Formats: sequence, structure tokens, C-alpha cells
Amino acid sequence: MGEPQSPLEIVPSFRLIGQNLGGSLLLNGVAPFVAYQVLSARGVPVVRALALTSVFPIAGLLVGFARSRRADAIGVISLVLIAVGIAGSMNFGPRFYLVRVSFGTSAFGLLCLASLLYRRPLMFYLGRQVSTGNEPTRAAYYDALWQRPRFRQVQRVVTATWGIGYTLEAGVRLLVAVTLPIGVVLLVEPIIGYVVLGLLMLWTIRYTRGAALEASRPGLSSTPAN
Amino acid sequence: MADRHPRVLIPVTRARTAAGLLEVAAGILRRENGSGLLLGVVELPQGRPIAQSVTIARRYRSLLQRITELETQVEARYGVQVRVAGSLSQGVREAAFENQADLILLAWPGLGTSRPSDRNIEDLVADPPADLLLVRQDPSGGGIRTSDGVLVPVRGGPSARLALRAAAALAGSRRVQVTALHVHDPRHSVDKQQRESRDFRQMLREVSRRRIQPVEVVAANPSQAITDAGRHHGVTVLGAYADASRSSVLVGSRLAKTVQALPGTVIVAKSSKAVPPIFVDEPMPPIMASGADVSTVVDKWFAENTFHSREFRDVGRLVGLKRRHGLTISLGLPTLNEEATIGDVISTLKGDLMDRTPLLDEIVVIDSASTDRTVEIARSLGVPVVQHSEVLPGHGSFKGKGEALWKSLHVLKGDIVVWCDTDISNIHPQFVYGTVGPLLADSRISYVKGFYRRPLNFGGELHATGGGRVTELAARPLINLFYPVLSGLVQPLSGEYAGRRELLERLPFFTGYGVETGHLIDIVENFGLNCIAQTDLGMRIHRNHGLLDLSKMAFAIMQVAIKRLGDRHRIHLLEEINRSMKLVHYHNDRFFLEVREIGDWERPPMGAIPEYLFSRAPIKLAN
Repeated sequence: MGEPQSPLEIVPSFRLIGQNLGGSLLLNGVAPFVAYQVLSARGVPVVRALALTSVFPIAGLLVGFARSRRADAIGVISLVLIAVGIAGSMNFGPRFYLVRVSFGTSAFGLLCLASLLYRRPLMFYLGRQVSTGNEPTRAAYYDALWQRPRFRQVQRVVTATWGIGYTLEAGVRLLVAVTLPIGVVLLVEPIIGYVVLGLLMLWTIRYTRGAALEASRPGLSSTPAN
Repeated sequence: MADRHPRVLIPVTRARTAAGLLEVAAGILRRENGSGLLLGVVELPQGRPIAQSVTIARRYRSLLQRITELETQVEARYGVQVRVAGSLSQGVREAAFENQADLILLAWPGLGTSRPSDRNIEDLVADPPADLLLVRQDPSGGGIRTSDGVLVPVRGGPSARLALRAAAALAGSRRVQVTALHVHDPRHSVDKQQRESRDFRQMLREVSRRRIQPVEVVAANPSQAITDAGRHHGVTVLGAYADASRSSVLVGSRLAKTVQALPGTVIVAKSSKAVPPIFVDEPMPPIMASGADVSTVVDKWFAENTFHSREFRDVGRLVGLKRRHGLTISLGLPTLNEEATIGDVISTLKGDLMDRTPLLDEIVVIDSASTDRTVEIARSLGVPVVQHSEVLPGHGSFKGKGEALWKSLHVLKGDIVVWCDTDISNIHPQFVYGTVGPLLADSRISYVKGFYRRPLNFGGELHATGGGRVTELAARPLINLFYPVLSGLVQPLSGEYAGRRELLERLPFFTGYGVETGHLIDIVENFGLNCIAQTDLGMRIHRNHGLLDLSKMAFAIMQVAIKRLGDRHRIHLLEEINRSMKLVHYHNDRFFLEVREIGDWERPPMGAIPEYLFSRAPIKLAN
């Protein structure tokens, strides 16, 4: 893959997610998960097992940073989720334990919303990883797009949507957990998770593609002004 | 509430009310030294396939398990059980019956609102299967405030005694005062008031050794008096008085209004004896789903009693459970020329489950005259080896795996006996803790069968499906034809299973390959399906037998099934049936007929063998 010619080439798609995120998801998602399973099968207490799995994202972050000077967004998210997992496994009594699932997803939502206060929102970094796989020329092109006001706006809208989406999701989970019988909650909760994730991904792909199409229409500059 | 060590059933069905229930449970369990059972009920309306709720039941179980681990504030003995039932009340009734619960702790429904699902516990409250405490959490949030003592308004009757006992237990565990309040009716004569007062004080003395502070007031409106007194107490325990009509206790009644008006935590006690006799004539709600078709029974069993070895991978917790119940566990490893795998099997199981964590108290190899290095390898790893022919010599010796297992019951000393086949090449401790786990976790289960996916080693390639040919071609058709209640067992012939000695010593053993089939049929016919559970043990790779061996196995299994079928109808089917089997060989362009005696003999229950009874009586394996 050479330097992209148009923003359209870096619009996230399921193909790009598989292509560019595979390795990172393996390191930051699958590896900690497998490690956790192995450790807890060996009788390691939950909190310690979770803490040990953070080795993978930390290593990934260090190596990635040394190589490309760019933080692996998935690694950061993985670390935050592990931290939330540790907090959720601590003994705050059954009152907390029964509704703890919603804390994990609200953490991600709040992370998105909090990143809006900074110069670049979380989805900018996540999007860069999805679209360019942190490959230097593509990543440089992606970074340069930040100069465009429309691009900045799109990134902020996407981040805000995921942030609000996941905060609302956590609210719905909490409501479901408190009002419905546990037998029903256990049935409904995974469905909520998949539905929200699926909807947000679909929306993001359509929205960013629309924005990119708009940007690459004749009459508008298709090269980044840098 | 029974006099000693009550068994308390705690249905944990809603996240919002769970913590409050557990707090009350902790207090009562600590004071009365009882055992608690956290119950999960997956409500499933009739007609929906039950087997789909296996995953939900499993996750529910892990959730409740986790809660018992969080409840570290008491040395409470919590068990966990999840049931699938048409309604919450049905599930609670079944669990109360099966576990012989003395006391049920339920959340006061609704918290002011009335939901349809809450209405179905009405009938539970109207006619409780055991003493019942309904817990209404402090509406202001937070936990139980016992600092200002516990109030018990007393009117009399069995529920009043229950209320006093519950209040005394709760207050005792927190070292606070119990105040009993009696409200006199001003319209009553002084004489009657005095008599009531005497009875009231007498009751307090009978109920609790601890001093209960009696308070008597005269008020025209008792509800108002109770509410006024309740304002000065964090917890009020009310006895539900027998209502002549079977109208709702929970909504609209005077009691419900009082509960609503009271601040703090309110517990409504209803004794199972408080039901007026008028209800006896009414048809009791069915305890078991009577008349339900076999398919529903099997589906329900499958959802409730199918575990996964993952649920028990915290072996340290299992060791804790084992010690708490004061049990010992023995592993028997039947062998016949297993030199290729026995070393790995022993070192894995002994290293992980005996040396590192003391789940197993003994491991014994029961050998059937192996001619290879099996015995040598086992001894070199420090495991005693017993030749089954040398055990109970006065009773003779038959060939076969069942005979080895039967004899091993005499050799092994544990209260729980686990058997694990030794031809497994991917041995993992889960093959043992997976079958022991349900026995330790759930007292109503007495026999646990392992099941797994069996890859078929075919021409050096592993095929993920296939395998279990005898199961699919002989055992399963037979079971479905004649013993359909057993049709939910995934691997009825698996060699990994565990049982409580009380059950195993009451079972006859067939001496050959029919032993597992015989066990299942005898257990289900004599002890019921619900004491059997099964555990998913993941993937199991083992030596595959040749077709002729499988044919012999199938023969033995059919023999056992048919024998038991005859026993059921009191006819001797097997006398007309060949005990020998002609095996057809093909060699050098010619067919040969080989006649093999494959009669599975039936050993009597071990509990009927004098030597066994004699040896069991004085010896108790040290933990």
C-alpha cells in the first residue's frame, strides 16, 4: 500500500479493521483473554490474573512507541478495561457486583467523552490505527488530514457518538440489571453489547464514508494542505 | 425454623434486593449456625425450550458463586443452586422441598410498585413451603441499621414466634437489643389484658434465651402504634397473622400498609404453620412438575444439572468446601495395560490435585493383571497399586472393568469416590475436579458423570466429531427406547465419574462394560434423576478401540439394559438370551466364528458385603 490518494482510502471498513487491527487485537484482546483463562485455570486469584494480563498491552505499547512513536490506541483501551476489570473484581460487596458489567462499558464511553477535552479525540487515534495500521506513509497522510476542519469535525462527532453511545449503553445495562430478574438480565446483557457495538460500527463506517465522499467531490481539494 | 442449624434458602432473583437479603441471611446464619443456599431461578414459561437456558443457568451459577465468595463478613456456609421453572414460586417450592429448607428468605416484592412477576410469589406467601421471611429493604437506601435495636410487634401465633426468633438471631449477631411490643386493645377488659400480658411475657421467655425487652402499650389503632414505635428502630420484624381469607397479603392488606408506613428495614415473618387448616383441602401447587412429559423433565434436568469443569477450576475453593463439609475424596484409576498413558495421568493428577492442592486424599491404581509396565510405572510414582483379583478374595473374581470398580470401592476410603479412565492422552486435572466439583457445591447431587467431545484418531488424523461409537449406536438408542429420562446424558458411558459413597455402596455393579449403564439405570430408578449431574470436561483424546472390541462393549451394554428392563417388569428376559457372543473374523479369505463369553455378572451393592461393613466401621481416613 502506498500513500493514499484520497480520504476515501482511509475510511474504516470491516476489511481494514481485519487487515490493520488483527495484530493489535491479537496482542491486546486475544492474548490477555487467553492468559487470563490459563492463569485462572491454574487457580490464580482473579485480581492477580487480570493484573498479569496487562503485560501484553504494556509490552505492545512500549514496542509500538519505540517503533513508530505512536501510541497504540487499542493498547490504551485494553489497559483501561483491564484496570476497570480489576476494580470490578474487588470486593465491594454483592450490591456492586451484580451491576458491575455496566461499569466496564461506561468506562469506555467516559474515556471517549473525556478525550474530547484534549487536542485530538480518542477516535482519531483509533481511526488511525484502523485505517493505516500505523504504517508510516499512510499514517503521515492520516495525520495531515487533521489540518482539515471537516476532518476534525468528523473525528469529534464520531468520538462523541461512541462516548454517548457507550455511556447510554451502560445506563441501559444498569437499568436492566436493577429492574429485571437476574435470569432475564443474563439473557439480555450480551445482546445489548452486540447490538450497540454493531450499530455504532455500522454508523461510523457510513458516516465517515459519507464525509470522505463529500471531501473528494470535484471542486474540493483532494490533497491535504500541509 | 428448625431448632438447630437451620437450612436457609435465599432466592437471589433481583440485583436490587439481593444485598438486603444477604445481609439478613448473614445475621441469621451466624447466630443460628445454619447453612445457606443461594437459589437462582430462571423463569421459563411453558412451551419454551428449556435446554437453551443451560448457558444462562451456568452464568447464573457462577454469579451466585462469586457472591458467596464476596460475602466474607460471615463464616457462612453458602451453597449455590440454579433451577429452571415455570415461575419463581414453582422454583422456590421445588428447591425448598428438595433441599429440605427450614427457612426461606425472600425479597418483599415491589418496593411500593406492583409488577406482574411479583404477583406470582403471592401464592408462595399465602402457603409457604417452609417458614418465610420477607425482607423489605430500607427505602432510604443503605444497609441494615441495627444500631438502635430491633423491634418486634407481637400479637401471637406461630408467625410471632418465628418473628421473635428471627429478630433475636439478627440482633444477636450484631449484639443489639430486641424490643418486643405488645399493643393492647383499650376495649378489652383489664382481666383480658392481664392474661394477654402474661402470655406475651411467657412467649418471650420460651423463644429466646437472650433477654428481650418487653414493651406494652394500649392503643386503639395497633398499626399506628407499631408505626410510631418503628420510627425509633432501624429494623422491624412483623409476624404475619393468619388471614381468614386468602386475599393478598402483599398488596392492599393492613399488613402491607403497615410495612409501607414503616421506615428502615422491615421483615415480615410467616410461619409455614400459620396457614389456617381451611387451605388443606385446596389442591396444593404441585411440588414437582407432575404429569409433565419426559421430554420436559429431561430438558429441565439438562438445564439445571449440566455443569462445566470451568466452574470448578478454582481448586482451592473446592478444598475449602471439602473441609467445610468434612469430606474425604479418593481417586480410583482402573488400569489394564496402560503403560503409554498411566505415567502422565498419575503425575498430572497427583501433582496438581494432591501435592499442590490437597483436593484428593488418596489415589489408588486398581489393576486388572496388566502384562506391561503399568504397575511398575504407577509404583515408581508413589501410588499404591492393587490387583482387583486380590481384593475380597472370598467373593471370587470376575474379569472386567466393572469388577475392578466394585472392588475399588472396598479399597478406597474416601466419602467421595472418583474414577478416571487411564487411557487419556490429554489428561488435565479438570477430568477429576470437574466431576468432584458438583458434589462439593451442591448437596442434592450424588453422582456426576463427565462428558466431552471425543475426537476420533483415524489414520493419524484427529476428527473432531465421531468417536463414542458405542454410545451412539448402542447406548443412546437403548436409553431413548427404554430409559428416556436418561436421554439428557451426553456421554452415558464415560469413564470419568464421581459419586458419594452413601450412594455407590447401595448400587449393584455389573462386572464388565455394562457397569456405567447399570449405575445410571439403578440410580434413576431408585434415587431419581435429580441426584445425577453431568459436567463438560472439554476435549478428551484417548486410544480408540477396534471394531470387535466395540462390538463386545455394545453387547455388554445391551445385556445390562435388557436385564434391568426385565427386572422392572419382573420377567427374566435374559434367561432366554445368549450370554455369549459369536464374533466374526475374516482372515485369509475365510470367515471364522469366535465364541466369547461376555456375560456381565451383577455384583451386589457393596453395602451388603460383610467384610466391607466391618472394614468401614472403625476406619476414617485422616484428612
